[in-house]
Amino acid sequence: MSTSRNYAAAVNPKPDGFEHSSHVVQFYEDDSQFLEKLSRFIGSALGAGDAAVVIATPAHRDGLAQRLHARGLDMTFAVQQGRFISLDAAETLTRLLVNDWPDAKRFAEIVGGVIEQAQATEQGKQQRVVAFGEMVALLWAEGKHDAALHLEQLWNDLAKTHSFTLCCGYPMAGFSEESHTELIQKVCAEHSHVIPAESYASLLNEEERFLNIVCLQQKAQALQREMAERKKAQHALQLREAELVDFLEHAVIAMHWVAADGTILWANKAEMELLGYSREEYVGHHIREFHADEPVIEDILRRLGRNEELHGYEARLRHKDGSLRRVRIHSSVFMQEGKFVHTRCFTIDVTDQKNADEARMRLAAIVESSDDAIVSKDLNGIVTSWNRSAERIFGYKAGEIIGKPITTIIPPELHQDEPMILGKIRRGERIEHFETVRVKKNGERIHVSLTISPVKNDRGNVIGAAKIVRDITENKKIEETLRLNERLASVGRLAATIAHEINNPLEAVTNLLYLAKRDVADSSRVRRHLEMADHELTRVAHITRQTLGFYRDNASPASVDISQVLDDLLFLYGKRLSARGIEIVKQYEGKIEVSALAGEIRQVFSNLIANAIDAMPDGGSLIVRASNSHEWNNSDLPGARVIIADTGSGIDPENRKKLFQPFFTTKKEVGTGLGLWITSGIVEKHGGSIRVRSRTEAGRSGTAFALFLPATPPRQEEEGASTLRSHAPDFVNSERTSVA
Amino acid sequence: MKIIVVDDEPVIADTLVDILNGEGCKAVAVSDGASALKWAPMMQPDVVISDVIMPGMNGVETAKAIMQLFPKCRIILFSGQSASIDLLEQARAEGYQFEVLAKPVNPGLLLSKLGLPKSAVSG
Repeated sequence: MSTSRNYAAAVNPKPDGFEHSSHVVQFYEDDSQFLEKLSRFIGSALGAGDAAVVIATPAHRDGLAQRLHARGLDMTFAVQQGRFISLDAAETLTRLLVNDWPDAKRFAEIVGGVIEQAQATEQGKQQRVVAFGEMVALLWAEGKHDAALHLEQLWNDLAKTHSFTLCCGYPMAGFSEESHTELIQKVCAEHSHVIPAESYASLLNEEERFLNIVCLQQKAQALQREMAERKKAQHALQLREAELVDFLEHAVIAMHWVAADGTILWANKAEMELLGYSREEYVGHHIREFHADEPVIEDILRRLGRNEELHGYEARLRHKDGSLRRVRIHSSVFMQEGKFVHTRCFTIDVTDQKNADEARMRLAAIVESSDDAIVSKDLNGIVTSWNRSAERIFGYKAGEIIGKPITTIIPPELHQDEPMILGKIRRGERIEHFETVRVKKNGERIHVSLTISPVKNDRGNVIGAAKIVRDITENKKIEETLRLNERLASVGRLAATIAHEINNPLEAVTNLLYLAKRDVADSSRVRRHLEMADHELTRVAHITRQTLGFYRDNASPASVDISQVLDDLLFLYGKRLSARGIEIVKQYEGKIEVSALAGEIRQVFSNLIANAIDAMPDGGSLIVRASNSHEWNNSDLPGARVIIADTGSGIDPENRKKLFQPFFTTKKEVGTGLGLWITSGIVEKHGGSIRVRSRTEAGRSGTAFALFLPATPPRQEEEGASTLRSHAPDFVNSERTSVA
Repeated sequence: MKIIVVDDEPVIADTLVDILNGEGCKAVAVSDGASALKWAPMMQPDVVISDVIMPGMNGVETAKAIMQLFPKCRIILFSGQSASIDLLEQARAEGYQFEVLAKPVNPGLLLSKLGLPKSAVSG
């Protein structure tokens, strides 16, 4: 096999004296040493009067010329004589190639021609020629190993027809890879002589060379070992790289690389999913195609071109379905040796967040522009937000009150309401239209209607409360006027009742006096008439005594005997009750006294009894019960419980809810619709509460009003009766209309 | 003169009857409208004097029934209550016009309205 021959040649080289028509391959490591050798090779040929052909790189041609000149050779003369022909290797190679492949015909023409030219002498005698070629080395360096080997064969073919000594130069650096082991054997096989690189060739004797071989063997051993290590390391690296690629590919954050010209080089799965494109529709395209706003992407590319880093740059990308995705872009450029390699771009989809932000801003604008005060607080009652109307209504600026307790705007005597409100909120309940009093910054008190809703976080836990506060001070003033008017009206109604009760006895007395005068002669008749008149006058006196109470509107509460008040009223309505055939069922448990405004309490019971009578036009039972008891929701609050019930037809469920509203009446002809409203107002003012139960089923129908009056009314606020106090808002607002 | 006096207050009805009978009338006291209608066919009254607000049939209803039975019978209503004004207005709207006196009624005034001389008692 030719390989073994070449190895033999390599071991026993003839460094300077080549055989005629020999084809030597010269490996080299160091450029200048190689040039030194080459100049010796060419120089000795020229010195001997032979011709030389050099096809080399510009650097080698120039280096060679300098060295030959230094050897004292007159190169100009040699060229003139046609004994030195120097050609550019790259240029000559280009002329030889057809479709990147050394063409045999062109080689024979061009290279063969040059050899012939060098051989020719003036005397017509053939000149000996040495040639140095680097075209194969160029092909080799470009990795065109097959083309290089083919070119070597063409040289060999030329040697069959032309006589010349050829030296090919290969830098050892071109064989640094493991796979080159086989190739270097192939290269050597194309040559008749192989000259190893200078480190070996320069050794002087056999002994040195053997030593060198041993060293080389050791080195080869070490290299082989290292190669194995390297292979292992490389495998590990490849594995690591694959892992990293996989990691990036499956990252949840969209990532891509873009070249300096804007072409997308790579993008991961998240980015494909973000925009809905397939890899083919995305990678290789210009990044601009996917941006909704041209100036934005131009600016991004301009900044990155200046090697700026982008942090959270906002942009809008176009999804394949046409929708826009709002994103934040973080990007920087990967530079290598000062050159833009690609961008490192991370894209974060903030569409949902942006939309949520906008919705939040819209809501905030609504809250800000609301006419009602809208305020929020946490579960500790600390104010967390305060809108413009809240500033207007209460006089506190948001900055002054946020972070302060809500009790800042609650009158001291109502501070006890706050734990109750917070308790309801914590249970997730709502408080609607709770009418109460609040304090402005300047100390002024205002009537407000509160609607308080729990605020829940995304897990459904209550984290605070939002309240809408409506200033109803004006409404309250109007209501107070109405109440006053109605009280006058109800006084009028009472007056009419009283007139009837007084006029009848007066009629009787008038008649009896007439008869007494007429029968003056008959003393026994006169006596009887006068006795009867006396009795009737007693009746008048009784009524007068009782009814005076209606008009005595005491400003301060006094002890009121509940059973006495009820008895007086039953006496007053006695005739109406018996006229309708209404039976009275009375039940008083002991002495029942409360501290209250007697006139107002009398009015409350009067209204309820009158309603009961109206509910029973065809007779029935009026049940009146009174007992010492305590508040429904608070057993610590003692007081009187009074039930006034009828066996009338009952109240429809839909009407029950409206019973305590002003101007609601089921008695179109006689009712003003204010009676129960007034009644509940008085009860609330006394810190009491009122409930109604009603049944409409025939046979067991009826309505019962149950009211509680505390033994001691709550402390009256300034302005007295004009400030109605809602003692138990939960009850007043939801339960008082509840019906069993 | 035959007169029926209707009032749910027996003292009033009885004293009025006593006064009227003292002037030579034939007067009867009843305490409700239904009784008045029972007595009327037996008595053929010239005058019915009735209270307005009464249990059962009220004075206006009683008066209307009497007028249908005895169109010539004179009706005098008397009342101490403002509520009767509504009933009378309603009756007027239906075409009935009644003489109305407010309680307490001076017996002398009532007798002169009936055209009876005040014989025994002065002013």
